[in-house]
Amino acid sequence: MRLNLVLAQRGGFLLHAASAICDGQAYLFSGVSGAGKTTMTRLAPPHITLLTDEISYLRPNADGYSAYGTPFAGELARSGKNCSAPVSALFFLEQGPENRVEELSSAEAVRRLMRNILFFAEDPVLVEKLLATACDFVSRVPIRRLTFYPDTRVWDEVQSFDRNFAAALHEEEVPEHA
Amino acid sequence: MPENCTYIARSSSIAARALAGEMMVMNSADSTFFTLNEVATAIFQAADGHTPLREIVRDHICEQFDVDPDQAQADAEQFVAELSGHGILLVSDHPLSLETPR
Repeated sequence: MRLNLVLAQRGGFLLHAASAICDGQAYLFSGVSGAGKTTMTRLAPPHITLLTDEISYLRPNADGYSAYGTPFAGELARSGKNCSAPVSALFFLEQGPENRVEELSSAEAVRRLMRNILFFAEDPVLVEKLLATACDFVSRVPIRRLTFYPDTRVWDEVQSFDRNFAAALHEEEVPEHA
Repeated sequence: MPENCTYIARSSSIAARALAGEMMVMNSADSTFFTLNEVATAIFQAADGHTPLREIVRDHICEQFDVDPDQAQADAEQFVAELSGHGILLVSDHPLSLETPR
């Protein structure tokens, strides 16, 4: 899958996540198969624009990241719209008896992100680039754990979560063979 | 050359990044991912291939974290063994040249 290599070189990546545009902002929902990605798209308000229910395409922009529609379909069995929007937030999905949005540490967010990024290469230079991209994404986009009960009220939680960061995040490079 | 020295160096097949005070390390060969605490990060960053581990522990761990030298050395050796097993660190009884990326 050479697409992911090309994207990695340009600071973008493919993420195992559903994404949809609501009121001009893209919301991402990531998790393993069965976590609820397609369910989140089915529960979305009727005016949302589906980008994908399976694999999201993300690229950096001047203010953060944008999500783009992709032809990759999951259980929904239909391609996303060919458009894009700035990413408002990424939610890692877990199912539960109630809707709850919780913060994640930066390290946990990067760990979960790396688990869900589609990348098929062992090139250390590209892996370094991908890790840098993941850290950049985590520092610029709100990331939360979303425990949800599968009914439409979960989208109220999605659109109203507290997007304030707990602390400023600073990214540092490891000195090159110091 | 000092006797019975252990030298450690970062593998060239890993990617590392610091974020929000934590060091994240990933092995490009098998995608294993680690988050290092402060002490582990200090050892990792000092792993230049030519500084003996006991000097790293003395200069970067004992002084900075106010810990017992013998315990710190034992912990460091355990940590190094673990990361070495995952291909993150190279370990040798003689100085290592840092690997250049392939």
